[in-house]
Amino acid sequence: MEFNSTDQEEIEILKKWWKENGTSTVVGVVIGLALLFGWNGWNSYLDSQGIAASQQFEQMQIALIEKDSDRAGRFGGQLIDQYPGTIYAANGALGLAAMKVESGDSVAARVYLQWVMENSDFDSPRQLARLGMARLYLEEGDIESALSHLSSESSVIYASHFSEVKGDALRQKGDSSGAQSAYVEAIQLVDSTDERRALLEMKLAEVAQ
Amino acid sequence: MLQSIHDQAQSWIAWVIVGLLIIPFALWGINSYFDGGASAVVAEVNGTEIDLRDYQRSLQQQRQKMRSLLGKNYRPEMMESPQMRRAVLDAMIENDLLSQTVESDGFRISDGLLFSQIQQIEAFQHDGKFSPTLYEQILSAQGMDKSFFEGGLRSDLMQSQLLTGFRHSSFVTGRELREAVRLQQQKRSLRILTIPATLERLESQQVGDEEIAAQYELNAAAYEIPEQVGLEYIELSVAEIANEIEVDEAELKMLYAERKDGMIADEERDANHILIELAEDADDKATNAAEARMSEVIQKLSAGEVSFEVLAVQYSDDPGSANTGGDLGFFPRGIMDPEFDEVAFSMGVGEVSEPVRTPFGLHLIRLNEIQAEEIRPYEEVRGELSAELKRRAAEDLFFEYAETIANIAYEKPDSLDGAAREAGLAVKQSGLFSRQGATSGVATTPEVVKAAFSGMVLTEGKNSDPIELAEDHMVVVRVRAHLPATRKPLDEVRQQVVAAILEQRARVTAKSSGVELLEKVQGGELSAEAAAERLELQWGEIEKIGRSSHTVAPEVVARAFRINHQADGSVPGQTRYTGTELRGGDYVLIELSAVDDGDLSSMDEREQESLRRELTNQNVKRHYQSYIASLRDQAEVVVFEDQLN
Repeated sequence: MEFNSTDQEEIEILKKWWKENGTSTVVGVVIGLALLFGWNGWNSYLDSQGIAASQQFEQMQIALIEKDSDRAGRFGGQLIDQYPGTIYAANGALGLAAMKVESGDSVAARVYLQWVMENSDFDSPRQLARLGMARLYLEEGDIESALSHLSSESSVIYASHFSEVKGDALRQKGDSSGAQSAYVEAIQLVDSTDERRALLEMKLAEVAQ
Repeated sequence: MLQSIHDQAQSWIAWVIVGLLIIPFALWGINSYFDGGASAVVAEVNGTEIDLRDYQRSLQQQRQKMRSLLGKNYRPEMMESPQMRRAVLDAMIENDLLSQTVESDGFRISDGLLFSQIQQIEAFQHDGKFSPTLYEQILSAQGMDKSFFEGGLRSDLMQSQLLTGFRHSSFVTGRELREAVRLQQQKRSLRILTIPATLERLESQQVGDEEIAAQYELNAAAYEIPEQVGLEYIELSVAEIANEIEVDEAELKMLYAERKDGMIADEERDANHILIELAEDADDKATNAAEARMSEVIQKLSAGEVSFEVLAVQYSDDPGSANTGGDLGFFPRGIMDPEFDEVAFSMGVGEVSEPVRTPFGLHLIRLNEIQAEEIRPYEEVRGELSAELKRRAAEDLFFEYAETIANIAYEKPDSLDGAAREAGLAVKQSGLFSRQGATSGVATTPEVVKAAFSGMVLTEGKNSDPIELAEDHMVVVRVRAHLPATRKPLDEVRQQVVAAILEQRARVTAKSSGVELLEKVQGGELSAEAAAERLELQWGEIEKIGRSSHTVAPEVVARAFRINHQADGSVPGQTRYTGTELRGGDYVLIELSAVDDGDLSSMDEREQESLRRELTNQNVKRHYQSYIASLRDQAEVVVFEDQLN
């Protein structure tokens, strides 16, 4: 039959093609699938890490609300140790820093903030940590260290608050005109409905020339 | 051979093909293949679409929220303003942004937390317990798919974790607290010299004709009778229509027969009481005294020598009933205190109760008569029923007439007569009024005034659209008389013009002499005392005013707190003096004599704590707002304006 003979020919062509390209096709498909499943696996690994960290974070927030600083410290410490790359570790460390400030231990607070600045990949917590560092140095009277944390240009998210603290530091240093322009900047950047505005205006009025 | 290839094809090649087909499902989820038909898109947030249907649903929710918030003051057009619609869309955009961000930042919610949240939602509870059936029923009644609802809730929970993060990471340092108190509670002591803008201080009160003419021209609006209009209007109200309606007696009786089972007069009881006053929070001593007095009453009553009425006159502390022998008359439940009702509505006629404790004191109650609950007789309720029938009939007519009037008034815009005739109404007239509106009559309503002065009614002389004064009350107006603004002749207002010129002159004089002196004092040319002497005025002392002080003009307070000073509270000479003009035209020179900083240690612990909390909350809000603003700055948001309306 006609069909049979062409069929036979096609089979021959296929066979030849397979002999030449078979290995690379199989390898290609296998690599493709491996990448695919690897990517899915990696994502589901991240998900499971996220969920575990989320649960620790919830526990820590409850402890913070109950003002149980030992328990909060324990959960926060686990977040930092076991899930350092997650957003929860960064936010948890900021929470522990705030807790330490409240209990008057600004040195311990700085250790947590330092950790966030050096280890977290998230902009927002990193900038909040740097802002916190500056405010704590100012609290301790170390104006130069405070200013060194405020000078970097990457303070975009919390720009108004950065400018305010800069104004505070410069005023403490005796630089009225520097403080003035920092406060002016803080007021320009603050949301028009922000309750902090009134206090900013007071600060500005005091150093205005 | 062929057979073998076919066999092979059926084995592994088929599997590879099926495998390749499965991949997209595995990667993107089956859901995306089954999403309903696309609707128009109103905005895109980083490539995620907000579709028209969701936007309209949000608008509707916002409308409901506003309506329940504002009640009677709600106006539908509030939600139609472009700003409002934009605000709703902005909120949706923000929500989308946040939900994208928390997802990509790696926030995750465990199934356990998600389900415990769902179980806490009251709507899904039956007898205080979560019911899975109810949960599914409610979702399907809302036309919501379970995975959609749970996805939304997950995102909400992630967002709330984000917010909690901000809340718990905010703090206030001791220095910041001290600084806030130092500034907020700062007191300043001043001396002020007020240069009054009075005519006596003017060198000359002569005003020339030219000056008068110029002022008259320049401030023309101040010397004219404003534009006025008079209206004719037709007024349609349910109340007026109801007055005209006759009610058929037979119909009334039928309604009564239908309703009478529900028309029940509550049970009422007639009683007398004696009150021995005893405050709710009385101490033991007062309680004992009151109880002793009460037992005295009971003793006398049971001895039978004196009547209840006489005892009430002698003993009762109830000013309303003591003189009438404690008579309370008939009362239904709910008028007296619950404790009182409980006893009065459970005792028998002629009985005297044990003492009853209410917030007023101790009562002794005697029940005289019971009027059992009864069906109210026809004569008594005839009035109510007839009013109801009239109102119902009138409402139907109202809507019918309202439509007729609206149509005719629109079709024949040059007269109200046709519309009035059709609805059997008279055309009424209003007096003249300006854009300020009238003090009585139809033109007291702002909507009517607005319509009267609108282009369509005033300039084109047409009938207005129907104006709804209330749900059951409307008018249509047209202008019958229009008086343009007219200038009052100069002779008539001459005195007014002169007064205005002199007042202005007094202001300028006060200010210029104030500014001149201020410069000299600031420059050290003149002492403060010498300056005062020149004007025959005196400095006044103002001790320690705060930022919100009302003892001095607000302009002075604001100015005084803007004077620069040193950290030790001293004020350098050149910045000590300043000046400001008051609203009334007086000019005030200000000398800052001392600054007293606010002191944290003068606050008690509770006040300190509440200030600390306030400042912490300000930080939370500020950080959160800044964060959202930065998300918006970085996001790619496209709004399709033409789809919004």
